[in-house]
Amino acid sequence: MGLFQNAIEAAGFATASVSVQPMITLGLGVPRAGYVRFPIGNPMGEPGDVAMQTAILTDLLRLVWQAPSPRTVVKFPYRWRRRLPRR
Amino acid sequence: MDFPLLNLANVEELHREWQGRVAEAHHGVVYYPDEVAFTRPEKPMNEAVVALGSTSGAHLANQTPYDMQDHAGDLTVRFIPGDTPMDDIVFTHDHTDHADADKDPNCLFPLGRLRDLADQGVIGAVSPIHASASGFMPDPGPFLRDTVPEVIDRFRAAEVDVVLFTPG
Repeated sequence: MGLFQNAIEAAGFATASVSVQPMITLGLGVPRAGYVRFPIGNPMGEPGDVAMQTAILTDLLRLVWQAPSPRTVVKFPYRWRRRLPRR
Repeated sequence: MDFPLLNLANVEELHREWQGRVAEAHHGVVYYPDEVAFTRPEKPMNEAVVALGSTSGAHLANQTPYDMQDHAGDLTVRFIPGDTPMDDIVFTHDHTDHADADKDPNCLFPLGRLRDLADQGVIGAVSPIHASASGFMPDPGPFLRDTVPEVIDRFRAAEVDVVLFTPG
């Protein structure tokens, strides 16, 4: 995802990504990313949880306008409610 | 900025280690530049055209699924129209548990939520076109070289301003 994101940003689009694997995001370097401690198949949250999905999407948008410089990786303030699978 | 930065204590070291590992995996070819591009949005949020980009393996039910048998991975893109009903979005990905997204595709490809934000006036408009790719690309070089230019062309034609990415 990060490579895709970087190429799109370089082409003139402002981007942000949600990351559940922050070591990769930090190691690679992307323009803007928000980290959530969620399972790999659920970066936007739990199924049917409209409020959380909307909140994460809105935070990604806010990050696009607020990030001061590239390689901005932030922590999003969301908690997974169901039992987290072991990674 | 409203958000706390993730602890950046070892970023330089992480970056070098990552470049080393990638170079090893790809026979010395490093796709990760030292300089990360940065495009500032020109319009305010409530005027911006927003698209989704994804490596979640999302595609339309009537599109060819991603090839999970090819050891080189599937390096093609699936374009998803902005008005696609969420029931028409499915996932092909053998390396990620997408059981929740199968029930609610917004978990991995939040197009329904993006439409909500446009309806509420938070963003200017949902892009007429969105781009999804496979999450399994052992060597992403051909994807970057051959597929991404088409995505860029389509996003430019759609006058996209902002692209939000989800992984898979």
